[in-house]
Amino acid sequence: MHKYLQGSLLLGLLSLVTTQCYALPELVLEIRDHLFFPSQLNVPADKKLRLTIINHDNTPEEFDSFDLNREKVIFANSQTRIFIGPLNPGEYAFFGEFNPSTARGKIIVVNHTDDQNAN
Amino acid sequence: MLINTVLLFIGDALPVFLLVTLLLSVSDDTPQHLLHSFYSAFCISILAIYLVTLNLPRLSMSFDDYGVELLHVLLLLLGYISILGYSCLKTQFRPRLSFLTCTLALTSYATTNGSSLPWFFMSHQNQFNNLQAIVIGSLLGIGICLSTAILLHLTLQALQRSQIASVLLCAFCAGQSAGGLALLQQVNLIEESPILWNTQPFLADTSEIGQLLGALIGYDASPNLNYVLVYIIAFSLLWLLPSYIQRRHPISESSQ
Repeated sequence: MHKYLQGSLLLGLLSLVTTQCYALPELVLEIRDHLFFPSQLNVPADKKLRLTIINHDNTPEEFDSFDLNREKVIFANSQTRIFIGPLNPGEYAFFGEFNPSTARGKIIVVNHTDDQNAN
Repeated sequence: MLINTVLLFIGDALPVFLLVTLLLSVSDDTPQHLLHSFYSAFCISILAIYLVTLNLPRLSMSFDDYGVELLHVLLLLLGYISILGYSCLKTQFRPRLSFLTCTLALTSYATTNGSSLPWFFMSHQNQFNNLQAIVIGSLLGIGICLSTAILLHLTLQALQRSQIASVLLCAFCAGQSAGGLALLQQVNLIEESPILWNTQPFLADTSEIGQLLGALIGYDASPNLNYVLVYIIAFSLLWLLPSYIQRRHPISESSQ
């Protein structure tokens, strides 16, 4: 009984976190032929965002960013998601750690007044 | 490809080499006892990395896509607790428990840091043009990690101050623990906190010294409040608890 209670509590907590996560604005980044598409993302400042990364290649790739302090392996033909922000205005570079010479991009964070073109 | 392989090795393997050096420097054990721990940890780590690598794709989709992050955080926690246990026990002359905690700590940190490295090799296994660069890069990477570890060991020996090694070990574990926090922020289990300072223009995370300090003491050019809090708590606990236990349970002459 005690185990069931613990399990239910954990499930409840995960559901709460999941609901909150899906309510956030989403950005989509695709990997094809060891390149990021789009290679530049404009996002509004001071907002938390969900970044979905879809890898269309037949090889894994590691999304890495020193500026964003994020690191995540995306397996072949699969997708994953990470959360970024709230960020201050500026440029945040990211790259594919397994193919850093080709897979490169940046996130440009703009103020709310300038975010008309933000994704 | 050559430089990328070297950088990957430095990023993933250097922390483990540095931990081995620090454990050698702080330990009161005979080097033979420690070597047994290192050999055991090496064998178990290879097996653990193999198992984690095999199951990583499945794991990454489990727990609502948080599986890998949760595993890494658990391993970092296990590593920290093991080092804490080792630091408390090393003054109590309990060789079996010291061996166990030392092996567990090395295995945890090696598995956490090394679990993405096999995927890099797998992603380039069909590109024969890159094979030579990857082999040479791996050898160079191991060479750099080994020479850095030896240099640190010789420096600590020359200084003849075990206190410095103890401080570095506390900083190493605090840095690794605080690094685990970024993983929880990455999957939104912990909220981001404000950045406290930015030393990026003076010493960037990506620079050679920045990377070395990052692996050794958890240097972060722009740490946030949560990072600094976890770092201070992890450092203080590791620094104060062993001396508190030693004061409460002083070793009698007969036990030595």
